[in-house]
Amino acid sequence: MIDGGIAALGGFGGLFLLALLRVPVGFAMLIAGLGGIAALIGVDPAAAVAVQSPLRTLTGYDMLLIPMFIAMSALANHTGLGRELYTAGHAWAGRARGGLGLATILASAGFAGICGSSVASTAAMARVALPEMRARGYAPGFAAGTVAAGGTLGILIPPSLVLALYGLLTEQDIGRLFVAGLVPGVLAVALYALTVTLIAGRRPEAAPGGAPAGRAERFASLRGLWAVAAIFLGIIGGLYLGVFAPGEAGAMGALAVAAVGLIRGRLTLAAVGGALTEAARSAASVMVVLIGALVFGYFLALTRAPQLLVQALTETGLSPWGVMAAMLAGYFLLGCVLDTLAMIVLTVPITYPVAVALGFDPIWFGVVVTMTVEIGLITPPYGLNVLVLNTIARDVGLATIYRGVAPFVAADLVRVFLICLAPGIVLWLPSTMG
Amino acid sequence: MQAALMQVVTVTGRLAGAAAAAALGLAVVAGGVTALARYLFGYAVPDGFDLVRLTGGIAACWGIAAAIAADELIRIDVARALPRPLAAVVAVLGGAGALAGAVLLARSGVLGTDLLLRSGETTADLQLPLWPAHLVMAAGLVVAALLALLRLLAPVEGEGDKTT
Amino acid sequence: AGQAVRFAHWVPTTHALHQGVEDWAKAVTAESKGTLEVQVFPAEQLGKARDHYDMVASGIADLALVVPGYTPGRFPVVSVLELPFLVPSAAQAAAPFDSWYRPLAPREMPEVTYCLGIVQEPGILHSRKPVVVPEDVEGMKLRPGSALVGRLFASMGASAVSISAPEAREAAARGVIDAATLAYGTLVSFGLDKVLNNHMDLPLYSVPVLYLANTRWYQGLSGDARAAVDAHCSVADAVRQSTAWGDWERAGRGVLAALPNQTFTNPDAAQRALWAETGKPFRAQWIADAGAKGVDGAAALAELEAAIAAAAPPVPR
Ligand code: NA
Ligand code: NA
Repeated sequence: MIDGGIAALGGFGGLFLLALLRVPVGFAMLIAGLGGIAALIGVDPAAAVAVQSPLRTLTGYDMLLIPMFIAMSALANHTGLGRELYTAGHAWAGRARGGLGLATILASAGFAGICGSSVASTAAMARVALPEMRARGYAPGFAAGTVAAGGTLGILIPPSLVLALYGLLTEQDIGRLFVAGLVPGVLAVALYALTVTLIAGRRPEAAPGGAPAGRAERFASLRGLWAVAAIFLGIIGGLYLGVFAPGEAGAMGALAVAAVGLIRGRLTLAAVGGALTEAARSAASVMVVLIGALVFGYFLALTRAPQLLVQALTETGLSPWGVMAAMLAGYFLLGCVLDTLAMIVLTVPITYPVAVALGFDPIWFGVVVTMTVEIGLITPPYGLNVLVLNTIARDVGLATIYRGVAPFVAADLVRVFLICLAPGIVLWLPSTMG
Repeated sequence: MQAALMQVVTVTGRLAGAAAAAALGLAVVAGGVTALARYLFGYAVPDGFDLVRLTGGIAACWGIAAAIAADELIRIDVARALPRPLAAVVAVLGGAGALAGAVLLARSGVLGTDLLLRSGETTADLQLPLWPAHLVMAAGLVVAALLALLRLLAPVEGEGDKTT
Repeated sequence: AGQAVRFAHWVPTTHALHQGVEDWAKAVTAESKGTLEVQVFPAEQLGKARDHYDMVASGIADLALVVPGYTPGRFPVVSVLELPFLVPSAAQAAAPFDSWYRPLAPREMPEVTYCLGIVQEPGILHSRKPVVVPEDVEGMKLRPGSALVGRLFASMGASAVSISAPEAREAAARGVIDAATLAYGTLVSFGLDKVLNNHMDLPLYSVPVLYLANTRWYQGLSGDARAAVDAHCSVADAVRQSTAWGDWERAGRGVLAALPNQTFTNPDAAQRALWAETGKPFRAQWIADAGAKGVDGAAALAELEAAIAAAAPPVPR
């Protein structure tokens, strides 16, 4: 029998080699995991895992929340809910200095409440907020940076695909994870708003105020808000009270978004078809990653490597917070080059047992890891939100956007630090659940 | 020749996407309705659990076919920075890995259906056989493997993922 | 250390079943005189709950905990324990069930080697309003403990609401369900006794939980290793495991009996006959399903019932 630690290293080596050769991450994990299982316990068991595990993942009831929440985001996008949110943000905050930036952050936060994906959030806001800011004379870097940073709220404020994936990989309660993301999400909005205000104060020419909105206009804009607010409260409230399972919350959310689209007269057959096709494809690509991650996880469990690593770390005598700081720094650096979901599935099987063994709360760890990997969406060279924005606003250079986003990265780091300092920011709300 | 192959990939991918979208729509409606019926009326839709689970599975299998056709699977794309000839080699290797993965999934679909056919496993409430739904899933995964093969024969730069 | 042995299961490490597996693993490791080291892989570490039969058949695990009810329709014979009103208590049915199924197992589960079968403590009906006869449940919304018990109560005019046990408390508090079938210990541990405070002391159904072994692994054992495994794949171990878990569940009744506002109803002989009547169609169905597997269902069921009736009831606690 091969030594577990060496087998695990070999498995990771094979996995990263395949992934670097542009093999899709899910398939790289599937192939490396099966190879490892074959080496450890034989070809027949590996062949059996290859039959059982993918189908169980594809037909698992718990896994359904992935397509459900993606369908909800896609429907929200295709029925123009993002524009309504922006209009409301504009009417209420637009007049202040840097007001359009504030409006963008607030609208992004609202959209995040019904959308689990950062790219979808970014794309939605880029189409509505960016043209307005540019027309008002905002500095292109600042405008784009605000949209890209606001987009990261998509996976921070629940519902969140990344938190869901973490829950599926670690068998933690996803409803509880979503509830735990709420207060840190509000903190993120506050820190981003503060960042916008500080920049606007220092460089007024980069962020002028918008046109004043009348009382009537303000209250009219609220009519657009109630629907999104109701859906968000319905989902999070239902999960908080334990009334429904996360997948059901996603399904009902998607139906509710569709119903709002119908009332607003924007739910065309083309919109539904487009949203569902897009959602099915992107949910499928997440499912492929999940299939691979679970099989690779079975391989890692067989090696007993996580236990060996925990033991080794305990013997080095490093303090738990020292290990945690090293892990979070690692996530921040990996985030510069890796995809967010890929990073979660590749690393959580190793970091999660370590964190739990060192006495960190699994829910807290899920939220802090989500926050740290989320920063990777806006850090160079591979910042997915920035890249998406760049395809929408072709005339703003990548370097300009990355410069514009830098202050928000600083705000993110402050937030991670605060949450390490006061874990109660994450844990208080779920602790009041039944 | 390559253009014709890509045409086949595009059209098949679109059909697979439509099938996946239909199944996903059904899963969303079934999931929402069973939850509402249970919460509002205390009524459990018979086999609601299995219905949602299986339509979701069908959506995922045909969605994988559509995602492979559109080259949307999540990748780590550091090979973008490579010089051209090397990047071409990496693209072929990546395509071969995608094919291998898709073949594994298709095998899982086909053998899994066969296993259910022999074991006689049923849904919980109505005791309906499970294998027909799995046959539809297996078909989607076989199509996915064929699409991965065609993509390997006619390599074209894809757009990469847009999921996070 | 000895040869590493993989024992896979799906329950979290806080569950009573996990403790049973740990004890079993320690005993076998110790008695194998250094030839075996049984490692436990809990909480779906090696695969999903539903896959554990196929996992042990294919050798992903050498041993696994398997609930046949997770794959409805696949193992009808062993599912006999789910039949209404068959099992009076885990302790009483443990030895009869294990001795009865042991010779039948190779026929129904040819891909694996049977080690032992645990009888879960029977679930009983806990409801918002007191229940003594079948017509009391008409119109009730009930969270069943197994698919079959759901169909049983549906046949009496109740509607089955399938939700997980942890979700059931909130559902009960909000009136989504007004009854549930569980053993006492589980009821208390989920806090369901606050709302579902009427308990009908009539054991309804049980569920089998099996220890199964990979056949190639088992046949490859020799000497001390084989002896240690054989010694613990026995009726005695099945009884020990069933009784330990059953005692924990029954301790819950003592907890409730000491509380105010908890009502226990006890159907008399005539009322019990009415309940027994509701179970008849399911017995007929089981006899037919067992026949399809090549087992004389009527004779087998009579044999099991006689053995359970002859066995000693548990010591009162
Ligand atoms: Na979100
Ligand atoms: Na990055």
